[in-house]
Amino acid sequence: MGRHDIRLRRKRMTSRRIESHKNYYEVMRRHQKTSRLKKVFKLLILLIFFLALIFFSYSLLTKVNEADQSQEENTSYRVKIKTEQQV
Amino acid sequence: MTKTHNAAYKNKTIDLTNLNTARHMTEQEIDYENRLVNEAKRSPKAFGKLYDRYFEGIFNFILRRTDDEILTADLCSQTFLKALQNLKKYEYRGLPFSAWLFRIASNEVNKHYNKKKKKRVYSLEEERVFQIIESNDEHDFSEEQIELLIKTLKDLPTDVMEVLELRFFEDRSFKEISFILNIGESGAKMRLYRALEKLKKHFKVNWDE
Repeated sequence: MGRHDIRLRRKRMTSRRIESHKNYYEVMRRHQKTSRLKKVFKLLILLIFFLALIFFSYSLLTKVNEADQSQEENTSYRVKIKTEQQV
Repeated sequence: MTKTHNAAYKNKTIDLTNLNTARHMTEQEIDYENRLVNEAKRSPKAFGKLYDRYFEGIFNFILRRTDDEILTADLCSQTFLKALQNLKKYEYRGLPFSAWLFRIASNEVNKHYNKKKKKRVYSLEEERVFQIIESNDEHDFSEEQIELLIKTLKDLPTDVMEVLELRFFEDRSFKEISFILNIGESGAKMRLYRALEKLKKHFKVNWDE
């Protein structure tokens, strides 16, 4: 058994018949649709990236603030103890 | 097939000498083509000129590999869509733009057969087959001999048949064939010579590369 079939075509397809299958409008429409989808996808990725960036920077800031606050509380507590001891 | 039959077929000649030279483009044609490509890169609407220029060639190429007009139209449309989407990546490397399109078309056809898991088809134009097969004898090739030729082609490995088809039916150079099929130039030559060796078993082949 062969690995492929060989067929003989009586006639070569005419240019006019091939022309009837031409549809540049359809190719352009599909191209525009896919490029629009690609753009939307890229925008979505960008949006997710920025949201993640905002979220991480916010969480980092809150952590820094918390650390600062606890440090301040610690120092004020130490000052308080010191003054109490002095008194 | 009996020995006497084989002996009779040996007298027939497949004259391939007229196909030694592949389609060649002049520098002006290459310049014009590159201009069209650059225009299309800037504006997708300009791609229409390339579409009109190569549609028929790509259609015939795919039709020869599918033997289905509707499917060919679909794959052809898909080929040009892919080309349009990846046009910015295209770079001129000493080969005509059509070679790039043929490579995309070949990949689309392969993808179709891999997906459908169907047996491949090569639908050859009878007219072209008769052009390629030239008899040195007074008599033309008989139906039987044509059938034997088809059987011989059928028994060839598909990768060999691909090279044979691109060389004899598309008149592509080995450089173009190697690019289209993503194989080495020596590999393409090797495949073709293997095909010719098989054909020589039944026919007398004239081939001077």
